[in-house]
Amino acid sequence: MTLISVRAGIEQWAFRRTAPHPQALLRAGLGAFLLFYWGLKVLQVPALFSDRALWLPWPDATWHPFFQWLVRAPDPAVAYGIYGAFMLCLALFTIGVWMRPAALLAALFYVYYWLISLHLFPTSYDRLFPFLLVVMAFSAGDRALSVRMWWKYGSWFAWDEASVLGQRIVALQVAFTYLGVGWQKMVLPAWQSGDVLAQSVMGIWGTPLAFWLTRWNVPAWVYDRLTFMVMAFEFAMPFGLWIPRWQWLFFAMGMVFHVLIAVLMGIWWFLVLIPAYVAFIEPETLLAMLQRALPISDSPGPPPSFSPRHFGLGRHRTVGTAQ
Amino acid sequence: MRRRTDTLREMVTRTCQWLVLIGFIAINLAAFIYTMTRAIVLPWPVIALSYGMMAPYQSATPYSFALTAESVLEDGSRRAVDLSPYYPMVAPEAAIRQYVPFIHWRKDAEAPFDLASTYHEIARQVLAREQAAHPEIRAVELYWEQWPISPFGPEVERIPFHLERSLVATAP
Repeated sequence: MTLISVRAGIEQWAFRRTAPHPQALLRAGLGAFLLFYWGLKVLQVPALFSDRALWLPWPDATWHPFFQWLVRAPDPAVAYGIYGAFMLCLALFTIGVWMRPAALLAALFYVYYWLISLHLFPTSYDRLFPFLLVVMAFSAGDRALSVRMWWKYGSWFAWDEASVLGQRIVALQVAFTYLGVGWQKMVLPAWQSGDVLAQSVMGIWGTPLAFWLTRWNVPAWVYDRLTFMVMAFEFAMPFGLWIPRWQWLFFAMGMVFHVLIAVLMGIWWFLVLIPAYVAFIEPETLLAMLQRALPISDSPGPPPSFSPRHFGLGRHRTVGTAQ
Repeated sequence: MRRRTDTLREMVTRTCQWLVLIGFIAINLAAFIYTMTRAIVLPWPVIALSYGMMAPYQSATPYSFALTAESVLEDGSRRAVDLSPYYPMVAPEAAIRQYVPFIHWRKDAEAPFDLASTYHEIARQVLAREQAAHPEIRAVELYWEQWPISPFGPEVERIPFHLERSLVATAP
């Protein structure tokens, strides 16, 4: 194996031009999730982001005056205006129209909300979301299953070839997140016994279901074993996701893991990682899977014909011919 | 000429792609090294975001906690202040937001504000809003409360016998 062949292999893996469907599904999934996540805050806008909120912005007097101006508390009407613009950007991003400026603007709004409020609840996912928006702004997420394609070709199922780099960056980031989160637990003192699990499900994040389960009063070693299983899962996850033969098993385990966190601790925001697993599927594989259900062609451009059977309307072609 | 331009564009694109890929992986590896060893191999502002995206859950404690408030009226009597309008999110997030000043205080090198001044600022803002609605209020006191966790519910042990309560700020 020469250096040139290694370079060619990496370029083929990271930069080749191919079907953008994984990136399109990432765009739609992330956008829909963020619309839901931020949509839940609609009634809280005055109490969180206006002069009616407890106002503790991140920038202090030592920052540049621009930032001090930026984080002044707006009145509720202005706060709703900013929120509305943010939601509009997310909506445009989700449907794939003017995706790049919409994603970049949404990321900037995210930074604004971080500076005025989110830094008081500094979570991994509120860092991950704006980062993914920036990555998607430079991706090919709008080159398939988007309004852009519909405008260009008159079909939702048309697609343009594009670089796979955006998909790879998202996949690498998800893998790095699991790597850091999982491997750090091996050295953190708090994670060396099952106490952390018991305290988590009985603590401030515990749900009624979690409290009900803890009342079974199982021995401490059960929590020890469960904690070990969590660590083993997160230890293997960043590698298993990449192995085509095993990745569906890891997708399933990841789903179970995040659903359990959601139902036992109410931390549902990481559920977004489940649709993000699509980033680990090779574009050609996903294209073949989608073609079984949708009228998507093998090559870029619009589908050669529309078949009503794809919409359950029968088996006769009505548009175009494929002879 | 056009062919040369296309070749040049392809070269620039490919170079940018390599820079993005190598830079992204290098920053994440540096963040991972910091995560595991606390060794800083790249400047902190460069790795801060990546480290933040790979930080594990560390909120487990053997106690629950909350910030509470009391108003002091003109006649010297006291009344509990409902802080929930100021923290309209789900209860655990509200508790963490109230707890964050402690986190900042503990790593004060990175802190944008310290514990005492942050709590005083919260008390000052609560007082201003409460006085607007109830002019008879003269002062607001903030208390930090914590109590042991229990499998029987989040508030079961929040009883005088187990409750630890300390004054953290007064306004004015």
